[in-house]
Amino acid sequence: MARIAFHYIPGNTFLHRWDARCKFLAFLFIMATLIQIKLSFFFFYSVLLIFLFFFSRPPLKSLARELKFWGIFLSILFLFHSFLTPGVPLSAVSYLSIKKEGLLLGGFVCWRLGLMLGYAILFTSVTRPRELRDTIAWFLKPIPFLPDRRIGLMVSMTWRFFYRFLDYKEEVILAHEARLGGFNRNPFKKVKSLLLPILKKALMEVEEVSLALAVRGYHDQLPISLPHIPFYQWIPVFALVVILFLLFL
Amino acid sequence: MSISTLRFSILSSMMAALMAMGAYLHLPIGPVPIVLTNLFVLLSGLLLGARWGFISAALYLLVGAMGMPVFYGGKGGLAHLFGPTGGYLFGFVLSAGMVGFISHRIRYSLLGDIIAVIIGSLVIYAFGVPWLKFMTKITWGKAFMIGMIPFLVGDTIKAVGSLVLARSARPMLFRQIG
Repeated sequence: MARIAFHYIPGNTFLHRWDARCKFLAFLFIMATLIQIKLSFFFFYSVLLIFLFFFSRPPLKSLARELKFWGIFLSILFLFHSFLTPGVPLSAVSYLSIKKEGLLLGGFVCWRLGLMLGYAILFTSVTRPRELRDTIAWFLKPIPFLPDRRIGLMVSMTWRFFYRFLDYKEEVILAHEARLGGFNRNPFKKVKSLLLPILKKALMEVEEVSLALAVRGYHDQLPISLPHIPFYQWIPVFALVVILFLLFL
Repeated sequence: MSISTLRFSILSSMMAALMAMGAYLHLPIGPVPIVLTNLFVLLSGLLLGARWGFISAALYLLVGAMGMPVFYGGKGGLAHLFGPTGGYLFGFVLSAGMVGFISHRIRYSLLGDIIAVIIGSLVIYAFGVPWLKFMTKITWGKAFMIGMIPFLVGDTIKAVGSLVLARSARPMLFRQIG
């Protein structure tokens, strides 16, 4: 089954058409300010995320199926915080030693992680890897002595490989289980049987990509032809900054 | 730009992506779940050498700093990079470089690789534990107890895993890079 989380999903929505440089800047703002533990920030980001998901029209059903693992992970994290954070046990469930402080902390940690994940999935679903490459090169261009184009290429390749390797991982685990490999308790054999096929596939893919780039004449000095950003593309970024500033006050 | 430089740039991206994937791979051994990011950090040094191993780990941090969920538990962003566990992440960069340097110097012999992964693993702790101590203002004893001791068994398994993988993948890699 093909995964769709962290993949680019073609579309023609406002988010797809929004200039990748502005989109990237807004994404950075959101990720940087998620460290805040103000409830107003969390509510604003949650409403914004639901609104943006609605507008970007991803296949929500398939996405929800894939995010089941994350639901389990966040639930365990929440329970971990609820039980292990020091504080006053709740009188209603005193026999379970659940703390009020733990519930609050666990709730915040899971909420923040969920938002981070949501925005990352949203950003990658509406931004082509090529746009990401050009955006990073554009942001790094003013810094002297940095191979901006190559760094942009490497970052976009890293991201592309990342979700492809997650796909490979699923395939290898399924193949491993089909051959009853799950019964093997030796950790070294487990590591080898899981990672060696992924590594071999990855090396083959690297060779293909390197040759493809070389025959297309890739070099660091190729000019990046990015259009001027029209003013209306900046408006959502300004609006976000103003709202964040008001929430911060 | 030579094909060799281009190939190593893409290989560094591959290793950075594997480090990111490692954060999503758990081996349920013992009380502490083993995440495989450091296995790929050591492997990047063993396979790519000092310079490109260093670059691949730095690339992993850059992608994480941008906010992509590539750190343990799907975390990302500058805040996590400079949080209590940030020292381990910065340690990755130096560790990959150090492993590559030692492994290359001792001409990829088994003994050289073993020394390289031991020193590489220690470098991660050398950055991670003091950083954890100063960020959370705990005692040295407690920093070692929560930031090092529980992970030693897992790290030994990961170090051996990286050795096994490096020795299996090197012939294929060397064939590719000529």
